[in-house]
Amino acid sequence: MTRILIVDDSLTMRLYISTIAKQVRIDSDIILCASAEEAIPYIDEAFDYYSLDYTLPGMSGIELANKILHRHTIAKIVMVTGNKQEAVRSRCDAIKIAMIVKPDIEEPLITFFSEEKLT
Amino acid sequence: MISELQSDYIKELFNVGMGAAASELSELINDEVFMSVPSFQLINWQQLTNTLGYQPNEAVTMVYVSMDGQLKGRGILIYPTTASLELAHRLSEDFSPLDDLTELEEEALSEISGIIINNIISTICKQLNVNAHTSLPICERGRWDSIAEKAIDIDTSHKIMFIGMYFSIKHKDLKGELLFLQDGETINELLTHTTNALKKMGVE
Amino acid sequence: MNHSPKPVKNGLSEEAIYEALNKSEQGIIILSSTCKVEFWNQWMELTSKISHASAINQLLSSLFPQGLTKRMSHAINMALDSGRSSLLSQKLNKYPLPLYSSETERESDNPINQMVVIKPLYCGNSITNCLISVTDVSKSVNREKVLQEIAVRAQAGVNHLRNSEEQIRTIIESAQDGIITFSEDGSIGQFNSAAANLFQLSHSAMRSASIFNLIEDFYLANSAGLKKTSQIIKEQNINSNVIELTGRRLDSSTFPIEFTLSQLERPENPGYVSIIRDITSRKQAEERLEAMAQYDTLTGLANRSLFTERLKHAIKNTKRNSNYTILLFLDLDRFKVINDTLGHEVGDCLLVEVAKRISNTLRNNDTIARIGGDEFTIILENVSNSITGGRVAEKIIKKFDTPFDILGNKLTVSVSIGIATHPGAANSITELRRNADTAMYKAKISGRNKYCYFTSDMDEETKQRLSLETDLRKAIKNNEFTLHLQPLFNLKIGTTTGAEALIRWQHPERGNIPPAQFIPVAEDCGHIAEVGKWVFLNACKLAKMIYDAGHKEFRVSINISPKEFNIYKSPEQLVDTVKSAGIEPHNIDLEITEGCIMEDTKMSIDLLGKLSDAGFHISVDDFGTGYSSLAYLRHFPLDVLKIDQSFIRDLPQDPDAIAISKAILHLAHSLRLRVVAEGVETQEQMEFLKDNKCDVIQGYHIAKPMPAEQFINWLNKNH
Repeated sequence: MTRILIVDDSLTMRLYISTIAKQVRIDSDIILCASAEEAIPYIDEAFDYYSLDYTLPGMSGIELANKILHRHTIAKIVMVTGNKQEAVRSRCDAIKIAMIVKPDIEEPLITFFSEEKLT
Repeated sequence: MISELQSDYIKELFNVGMGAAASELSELINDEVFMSVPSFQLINWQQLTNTLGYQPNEAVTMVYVSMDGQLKGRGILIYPTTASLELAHRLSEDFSPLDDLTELEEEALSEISGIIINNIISTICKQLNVNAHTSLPICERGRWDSIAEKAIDIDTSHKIMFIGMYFSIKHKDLKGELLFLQDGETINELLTHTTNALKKMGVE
Repeated sequence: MNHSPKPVKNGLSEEAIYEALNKSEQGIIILSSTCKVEFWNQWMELTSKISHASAINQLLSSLFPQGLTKRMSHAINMALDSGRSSLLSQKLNKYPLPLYSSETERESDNPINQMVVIKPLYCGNSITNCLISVTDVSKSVNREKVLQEIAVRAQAGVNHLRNSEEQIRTIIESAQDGIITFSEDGSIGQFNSAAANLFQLSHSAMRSASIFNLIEDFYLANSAGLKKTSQIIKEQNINSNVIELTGRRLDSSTFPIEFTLSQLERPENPGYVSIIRDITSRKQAEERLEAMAQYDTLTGLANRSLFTERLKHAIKNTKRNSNYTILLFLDLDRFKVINDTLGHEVGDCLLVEVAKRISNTLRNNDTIARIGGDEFTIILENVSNSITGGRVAEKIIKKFDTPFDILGNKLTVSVSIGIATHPGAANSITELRRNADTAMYKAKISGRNKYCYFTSDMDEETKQRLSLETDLRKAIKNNEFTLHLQPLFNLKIGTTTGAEALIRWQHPERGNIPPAQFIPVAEDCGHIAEVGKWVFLNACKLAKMIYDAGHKEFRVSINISPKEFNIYKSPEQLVDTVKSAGIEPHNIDLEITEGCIMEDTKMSIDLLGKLSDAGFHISVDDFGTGYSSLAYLRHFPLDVLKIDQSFIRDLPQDPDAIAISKAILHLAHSLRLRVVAEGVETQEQMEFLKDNKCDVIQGYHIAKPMPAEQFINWLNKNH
């Protein structure tokens, strides 16, 4: 059972990303959160894949990523963002997570979810 | 008339478009620009005037881009004049300490607004697989009541996509209003395209 | 929105259109869909120094060594790919292309300020080309620079002004004097905190205030009809000097101010700036100094120097107006005693109250002054009637009928008044004053609580009186006093059981001076205490003598007044004196006049109680002459009532005398008091009294007062 956590404030994106995820990981248990705050209760649980939106209301995606990494140091996180500015990229690089720029997310996401699971 | 999914997707498109605009602007000024679309509504003219809440004699700056092709309409950015000054100042060091925009500053504001609107239009077009070409951005400044007439000179039965806009440039938070004016037909087309795109994405 | 309609080609050849584009004042470049130059107009040639021929079919980016800016490339691509039109503003895109307006500019690397527009060109619905138009906006740039400079300078000017304004404001604000600007209509413009404080107004109240309400002089002028401040200033003759005006507060109270005025150079709204200082404390100090020089600090009445001045003035006027000036001298009777017994605080308060009472009886132009301890003078000016003095004196004396309530003490004070009139006996102011003084003295010795006019024959009397005072002081030292004893005959027992001790003064020159003459003098000059002490001590000695002579039950009566004799504040002292003389208190009878007892009943009860407890016998002297309260009578620890001789004199003929005597006897006996009848001179009187159960009699009928030795002999003979 693959566990995937998807955080994005857009309903469409949540559904879209989970569709892509299911394509790759058919047997997956996917948790969808509309904000970082909604995801906090899941912090202690270990997920196989995390897909986080950068631009979130409230706590940002990067901050959430930091929190997750704090708990699970080798978590597989991808930052999905519409903002391809250098600043965002460098932030993702700093914590060593991948970045995918909207709107062409399908291919990169497939690659991401295809990576070997942790366990 | 419009489902939650459609509404959510269109808003997401706007967000991505804004993101692209932010990237382009940040290159222009070589500094980080943050932009987002916090909300999206489909309203009519009366609701718009109420929502905007400008006094008839209030000083307003408006930049609009006309669209043609598969998506027809007008993309309009409205700033209260002080905000437009603020925006312009943030993006260029060269701005004068005057209370009002000079011609050149007006042109700069037009450019910026054009970048924003065009990026959004491009994103929408790309994702929805439609074609639209745009005119040069035109800047109108003056009292709300006279400007509103000039720029929003459409049939009041037209629908308006009303989007709030939030940007943060060089540690300053600014807000503006983005509107897309389309006639009913165009909206419907847009919505059809949206549904198609969603289907393709596997999202129902 | 649709494309703009295509221009009609009729009448216009393609060459003409081409020429138009070529000769355009803007740079025009047309690119193919692959970004190759397809049109390069003259303006571009001139400014880029790249000829049409060199440009054609080249990639636009390759024409320039720096290539194209990212923005430009992106815009071109967007136009060709997506049909986007873009505007590249001069402000955000500095010199997108290296174009120069002249060789000189090129050499100095001063490119043209450009605004670039990029548009897609359509053929049908497909994008075939990209149009790039370049506009020289240098003029706009220059215009903007000028505007900026003006703005910067204006801002600097504003800042400078603001700073100076700030400085000035700070100075004005920190000033301690009030600074107020006001307009013609009186409305307040600017002001500082000091001004608001001066007038006790909040800042907002100050802002809406009017100068007419803040300055009394302005207020009055305004009420009288002058509506403009300039009018008032002119009328009041206010110039730029410092003047004293009166400030006005919300509650209409006023205060003295120093006021300085300047005109404001402000043609559109004429006004003034004023500086205001509260000089209340200065004024008060000035007034105080002035007052001190002329007024008595305790009572606020005129002092001696002012009195003298006024008297001079009054005399002058009298001469002019042919009327009278009347001078009254007043002295409070027995003030020294009050001061000594009750203290200076009470004495001072009494003086203040006395001053008030007297002042209330006078007219406005009469002067009352305090010229000494308890001495007051009154100048009645412009008097038409010479007997006015007497009338005024009468009024004053009546005023003293009501007791004074001073710090809880009920004091009955009387006053002696002397009157001297001018024109009259005096030939000078000094004489006038002396005459008034003498007249007052006469009033005193005539019994006090009265007034006296000055008459020339008073001089001798006065002189005598004055010398008495002096002599009294010596009398004790020189042993000029003696005590005589008058027997008190007990009618019931039929023998003499006591005697009254009476003081006698043998003056070396004047001979015998009766007590009636010198006792009042002693009281006045305060010597009475010493005299009293002497009397008591010697009376005790006499009592001892009589005791030793074998009369063990004998009692000597001594006259005392609780008020006048300090020593009686502590009965212990009296007891000591008695015992050191070798006798007991029950050998002494203390005679106190009815008037004295009733004057301060509370004190009397207290004191008499103590004396009675100590063992002394107590008699009420001169009964019937005072205002007895029968209620109190039974509360006093008394032993004897002495009926005054005035009642006895008319016995036994006068029915009233009979009635009163009987009544007193009855009353006394009902109260279990014994009665002594004074002044018994006839057998008939004695018999009447005996019949009416009188206990003891005293008078010539028994014996006159005798010196001690003579008395003891008499006693031994008649006992």
